[in-house]
Amino acid sequence: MRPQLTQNVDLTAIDLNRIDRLRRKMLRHDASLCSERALFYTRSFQETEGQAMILRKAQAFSHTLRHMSISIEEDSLIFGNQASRNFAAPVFPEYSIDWIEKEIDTFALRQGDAFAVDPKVRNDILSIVGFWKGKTHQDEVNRNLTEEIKLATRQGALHLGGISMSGDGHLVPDFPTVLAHGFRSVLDSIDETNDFYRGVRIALSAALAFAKRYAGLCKELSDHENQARRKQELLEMSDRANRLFEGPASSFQDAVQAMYLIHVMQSIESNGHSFCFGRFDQTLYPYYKKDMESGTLSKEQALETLIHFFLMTNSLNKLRPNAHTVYSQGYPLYTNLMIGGIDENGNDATNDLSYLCLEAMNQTALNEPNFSMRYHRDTPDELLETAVKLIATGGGMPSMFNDEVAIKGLVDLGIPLPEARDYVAIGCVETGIPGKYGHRPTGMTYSNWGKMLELMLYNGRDPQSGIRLLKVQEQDSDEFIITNYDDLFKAWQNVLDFYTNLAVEADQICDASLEIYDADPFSSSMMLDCLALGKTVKEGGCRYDIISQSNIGPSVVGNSLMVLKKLVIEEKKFTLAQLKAAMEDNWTSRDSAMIRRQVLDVEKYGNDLDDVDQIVKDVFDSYLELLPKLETLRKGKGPRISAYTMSTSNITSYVPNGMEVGATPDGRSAKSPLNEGCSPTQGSDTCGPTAVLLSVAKLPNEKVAAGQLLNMRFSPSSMKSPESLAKFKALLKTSVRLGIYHNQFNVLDSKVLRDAMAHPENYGDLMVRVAGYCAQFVSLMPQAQEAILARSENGVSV
Amino acid sequence: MKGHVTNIQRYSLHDGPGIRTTVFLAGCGLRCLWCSNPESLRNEERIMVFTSRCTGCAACLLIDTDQALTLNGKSLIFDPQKELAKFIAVCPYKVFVRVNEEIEAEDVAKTCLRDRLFYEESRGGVTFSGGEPLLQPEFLKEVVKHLKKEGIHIAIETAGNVGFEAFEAIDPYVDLYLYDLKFIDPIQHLRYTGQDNENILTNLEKLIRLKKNIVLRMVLLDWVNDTDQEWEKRFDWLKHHPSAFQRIELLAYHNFGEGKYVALGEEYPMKDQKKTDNVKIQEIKEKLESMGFDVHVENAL
Repeated sequence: MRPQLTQNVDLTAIDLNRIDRLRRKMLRHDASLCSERALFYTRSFQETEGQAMILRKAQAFSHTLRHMSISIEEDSLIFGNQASRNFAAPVFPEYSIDWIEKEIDTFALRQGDAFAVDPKVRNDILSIVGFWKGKTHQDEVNRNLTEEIKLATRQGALHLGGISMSGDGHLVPDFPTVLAHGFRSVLDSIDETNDFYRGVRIALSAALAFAKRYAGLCKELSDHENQARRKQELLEMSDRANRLFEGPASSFQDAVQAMYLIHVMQSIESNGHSFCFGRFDQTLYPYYKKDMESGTLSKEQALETLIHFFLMTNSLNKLRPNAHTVYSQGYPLYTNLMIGGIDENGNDATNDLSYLCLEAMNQTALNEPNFSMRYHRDTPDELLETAVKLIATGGGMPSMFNDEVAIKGLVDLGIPLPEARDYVAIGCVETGIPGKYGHRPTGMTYSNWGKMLELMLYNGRDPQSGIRLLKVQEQDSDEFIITNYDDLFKAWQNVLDFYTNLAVEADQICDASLEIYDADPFSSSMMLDCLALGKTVKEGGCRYDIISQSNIGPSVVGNSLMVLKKLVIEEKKFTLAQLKAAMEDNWTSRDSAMIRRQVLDVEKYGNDLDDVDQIVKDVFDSYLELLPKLETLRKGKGPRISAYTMSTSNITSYVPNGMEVGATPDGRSAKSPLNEGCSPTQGSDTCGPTAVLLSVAKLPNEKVAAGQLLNMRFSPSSMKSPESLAKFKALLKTSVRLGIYHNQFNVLDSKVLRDAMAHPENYGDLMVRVAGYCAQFVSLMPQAQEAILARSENGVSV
Repeated sequence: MKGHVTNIQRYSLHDGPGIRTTVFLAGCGLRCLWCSNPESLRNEERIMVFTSRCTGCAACLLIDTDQALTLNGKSLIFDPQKELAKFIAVCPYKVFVRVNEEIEAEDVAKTCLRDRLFYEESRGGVTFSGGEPLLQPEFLKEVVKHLKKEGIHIAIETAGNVGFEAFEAIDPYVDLYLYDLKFIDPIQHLRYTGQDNENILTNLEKLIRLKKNIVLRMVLLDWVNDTDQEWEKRFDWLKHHPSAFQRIELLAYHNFGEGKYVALGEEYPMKDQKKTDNVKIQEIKEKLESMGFDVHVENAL
């Protein structure tokens, strides 16, 4: 048991032994593959040839839910399994199959995120490959990708994200409505006037049947259970399963169970990730309150339920191609669960469950759910204090969102204020409105700004691949001529504009294919306004269609432009050719190192220095200016707002994107990581966290409306005493006043991290914050581990 | 007006209340053998040589006319008595670093003011440390005047070995003194710091009589100043000043400064010195608490 954080709840009244057993099981996280879903989907698809895709997907979903193996986790109060074993990733052949066939024998050998594949599963999967060849979402995307986009990805300037070969996910169902009505009433009310409604009927009927299967299983297990308490629990679980989705959730525990099973089913319907729980404390509070008032629930029971729920969210898994794994390591599902914040009237909405969730996270301390908290000027001190204590334990949770900035950003996009006040993190840092956002707010195509900068310096030619898609200046050569800063910045804008347009084109190609292959009648039935419009979210059924790409490396670009401005243009310390020679040499020779030294002496973003901070801001603005002309495919087809916005949420992609880029003018060496989110480049922030926050505060944060990511590392010694925790809390409160969008923290000692790299076997439970989510440190690739180590450690006092 | 500043550390958590900026001024009259800021002892520019950064490129050797350096592969040896400043410009790897540069008082104040929101939220402010900040009284006063105009909370960390007029000159601007006490025993004080403590104790008692806000800070070193003999004297002295201090801070010795001695080409005088064990610290803490003091332990390790 970990030291308790919250008052007024008696942990000793909870069976902590079984929680510990369950936690250990989840911590081991022995990932493998499961072939059941793949086989069921294949069989079903074989029988539905010629029908509309949405109906085929609905029937395959139904077939799977009715026939897949189900099980009850031995110690758990929560039921629902995604695959035949914990941590077994189902296979989704309708999205992509080629890479699975190619990589199947290497899944177990990966450096990070390995999956065991037993011989039967291997045979099962290889047996269906033939059926799916050429028929998947990925095939459709590949057929439509232009030559130019393909070349841009070969340059490394663009990276087609998960959406080019898997589902989109990133949905927070309208849980308040779903819990208040269940599925039966939806089934009763829909007329099958189109394929969407027909698909919804099939999917929701299957969901009801799926729950009933657990009722049967729990009853059966109860019959054979000797221990009286467990026998009773299983009986109650059986009754609960029978009631589930038939009508309104009748208790707190029913509501929690319903949310979990919905999450499991969403994760079977589509292999998108970031199926999130939304504002968890707000959604569940009416049920909690009612049960507490009627005396049918105690605080301790509520906490026990939450802990079991938190633990079970770790039992799911997702298989990604190797190339994507480096972008998102640590088996992440990004199942965001959020607490705190203001209500639709602007009043603080903290309740008992906000505290209980903090305690549940404290007691479970695993990488899911991806736990985050909203806060604002009037967040109760006690809640903030409890959150700070949890942060100080080093697990990287919760990550903190500033209501004032996030809400302003959404309102500026046209979302009505009361709805904007209900915003939530969907996945990592990407923000949207629960139940109303039908697409990932960010992470469409990944744009490598570091590479774009490099391309500019070679007049559009990629020095690695030799590919050139545009000439930045008139001359045919790879020479790039710098005459003055204005022209230099214009050249950057041109390169950014060119590749952003390509990225949008890529987004649209993926989206068009997802509309067909990611048809999700189950999930869409829980999203506004799909049932009213008779459309899936991808067809335009969602209320808000606001998306963004993932932009990687703005700080590297800003710092580099600063160096060019100061040393090449203004002080003429050396020519661009000399600088490029040193970069090509990766700063190794003495002359190159001497140039690098001058480069490193130029002021860097993250130290509260106005000139360079302004340039980084200009770099942000150069992208924001492009947004109004960018359009999504759903514009005019249903959503009240269709638009592009910006985000710097970029998961671990700053590491592999960095590997594509040679040395940059800011002194960064070749292949090393770009900066993470809007954080300073690793190690360049030498003035401490207040200076970092003051630098970030100068950026147009509220316009980065899909999430602005800031990651900071603190030494454990700076978070030990009550006094230092109070100081950290003051730092957070100042962040709110400064208009910082988001902060997440690693509270880790460099020595501990080094030791964990050397002895991973001793550090299974060491969680770290990777851009936007938490991961087991030992599951990351060495390069990502190094990048975390390279973040400046704050608060080390000498 | 300019002064020699060793370092300006923002987000300083251990030098007074709230989030603070600590300004380390160069120059000190004491030579405490355990000093963790040896670069700040002299009120003048110093060159620190971080040999671990050396790649063996030998750029420095080209201008090394008086054999200040010896290079063996990547292993650089330097003679601290020789002129080293000229190597700063030619070394690509920043092996040679200048410290205690002269900075304008106004610029120091400006840097400190950048974090004022953090001070406000945390009830923090600016602390002047060193070195001995009171040894640059004119400069200090000028910086502090700028800050006081802006309503910033000011703390002075001092070892007190200055004329009392230095205190009087700065006092109107000071909210809090962090007063370091090394020894009560004057012989030991002389032995370990190079000076006796008569002046230090007199100044402290004057401040107490003037009812100034004082935090008493005492660093603890195993078998050096944590002996029963010494502490009997301290307890005795403290008995006469029962309500003199806002709080007492016990600082566990650490050897983080050792690398700086190497970079200065100096011998670390306290090699193998151990920190006082936690049991002993706890005992002292409890005894002080029983005397009515608010006691805090700062344990850097």
